[in-house]
Amino acid sequence: MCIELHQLTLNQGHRTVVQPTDLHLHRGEKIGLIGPNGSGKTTLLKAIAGLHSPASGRISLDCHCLSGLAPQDLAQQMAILLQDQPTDLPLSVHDTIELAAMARPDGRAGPSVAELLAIAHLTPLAHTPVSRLSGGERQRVFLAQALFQAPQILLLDEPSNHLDVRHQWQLLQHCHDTIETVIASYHDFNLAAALCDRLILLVDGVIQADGPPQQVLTPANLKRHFGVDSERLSNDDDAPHIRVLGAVA
Amino acid sequence: MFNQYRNAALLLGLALLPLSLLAGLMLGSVPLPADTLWAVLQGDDSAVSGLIITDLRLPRVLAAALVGAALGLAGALAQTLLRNPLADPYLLGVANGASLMAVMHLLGWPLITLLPLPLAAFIGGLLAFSMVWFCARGRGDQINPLILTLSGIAIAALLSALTTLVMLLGDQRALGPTLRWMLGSLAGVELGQLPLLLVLLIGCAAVAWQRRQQLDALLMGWNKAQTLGVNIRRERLLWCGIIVLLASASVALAGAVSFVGLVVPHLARLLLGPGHRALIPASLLIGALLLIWVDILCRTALAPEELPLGIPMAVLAVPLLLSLLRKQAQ
Repeated sequence: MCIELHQLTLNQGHRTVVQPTDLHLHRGEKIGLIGPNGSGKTTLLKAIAGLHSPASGRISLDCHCLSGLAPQDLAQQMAILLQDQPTDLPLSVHDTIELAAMARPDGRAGPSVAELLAIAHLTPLAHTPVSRLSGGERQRVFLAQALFQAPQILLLDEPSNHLDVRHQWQLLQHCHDTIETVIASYHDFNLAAALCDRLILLVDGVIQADGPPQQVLTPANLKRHFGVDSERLSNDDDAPHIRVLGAVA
Repeated sequence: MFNQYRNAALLLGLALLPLSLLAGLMLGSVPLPADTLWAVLQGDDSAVSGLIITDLRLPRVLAAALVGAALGLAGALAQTLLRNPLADPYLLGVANGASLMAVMHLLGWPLITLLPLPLAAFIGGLLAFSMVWFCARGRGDQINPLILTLSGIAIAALLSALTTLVMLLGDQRALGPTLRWMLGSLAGVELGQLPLLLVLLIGCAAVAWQRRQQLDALLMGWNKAQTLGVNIRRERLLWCGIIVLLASASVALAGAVSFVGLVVPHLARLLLGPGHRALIPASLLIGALLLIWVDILCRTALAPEELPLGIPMAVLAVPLLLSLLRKQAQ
């Protein structure tokens, strides 16, 4: 067992964004969270990372209640790529990635800063302040920082934001290949289907479907919850490939 | 390459510090030549010049260095903690709280006059910050840096209005010293007042140096820093406490010296970069050097009259700050 949600309810101000939810997320799984805007994906990921306190219920990590864990202990197991990155950070790309050393336990094997700079194609920008980078470059810096933590669990909130197609596939595939457990929210159905072995469809804070991509990404689900007509271009045994035909009239 | 430049710049600053302290002892309304200074430092304190150096200028120049370093460090910490380049240690209401208590003391308010002036100012600073902190606290002890900043501005405005009211109601003959104190002055500082600030400064600088990595992480924002294991509740209380202690102790010694905490971290960042490994020693050194020379200017510009520290600081700092901001905007 890895992460358990027990009757978890999450609020934003007076608005309930995640209804009472029970969920078991297992070690080794590659999980994709999908859902329309405002469905509670970001809030749920922040709650799992200890950044958002539950209104009721609890989250436990390996049977330990998350609220009882010190930030340092949590950071040694879990890294998160947030959706909103600081745009005015004056530190260099190299120093920003290296900051994650404080969350990496002594002796844990992991990539070096130089290796991650190369993987994220940031080597020529190593000494450039993060504040001078484009949105996509900044996203790659913080993805590299999360990988430098060498976490057992990686949470990604819409990681494909700002990334060009090459970096979307290359970097996210690298994350899924090298990190034991990945939980990521996606808007791209095909990216989610290709990278994840389990998808959770969240709508208005309620889990509407949970299972392998071929069970979740059905034309009926997409029409009902996303308001789009679609067709599947691959057979049921493969990761489904979805072609969106257009919004429902 | 950058590390070599950074180390060389810090060594240069360190070398300039004793030279500036010596200049502070020699320059003033009565200039003293080097041989007189040398004789006094050898122990010959019989002449008037000996009294000027040991009783008047030595405490003053040491106080300038300590207050400058304390406000420089507090400013750097405030700008990092609040992620606001316009933050200074007074943004948390400290200077206005200290000023109100000091003005009440100078105007002879009962009870408050039972305390020494520096202690009254120190307590005023702490009380003002407590009000700011209380106002900024949200549900579940959550604090937003923007709300903290705005609460500080609001409480500072309220305390400033109360200070004006106290001055209007008070004895008009005491307004001169009151105004001088509000603009900052090192006149009359005694050696015995310095150890408290010295101990505080050494302690706070050591804590900041030891936690420089956490300070670097705070530059990314509170949420992001927490994901790297920074305990935000503990850190913000620690840094607010350190900022308030340094600022209150400085105000208690030298009055409300403006602009040092705002401009020094900008200069330090411009010269040595944003990382706290360089920013902490650079802010200490530049703050100390700046206030030593501004105090010399205050003593010599209109000698034998003395200027309050706040006037030359504003004249020097405002164009400097505007040009730095303009450069950053470009």
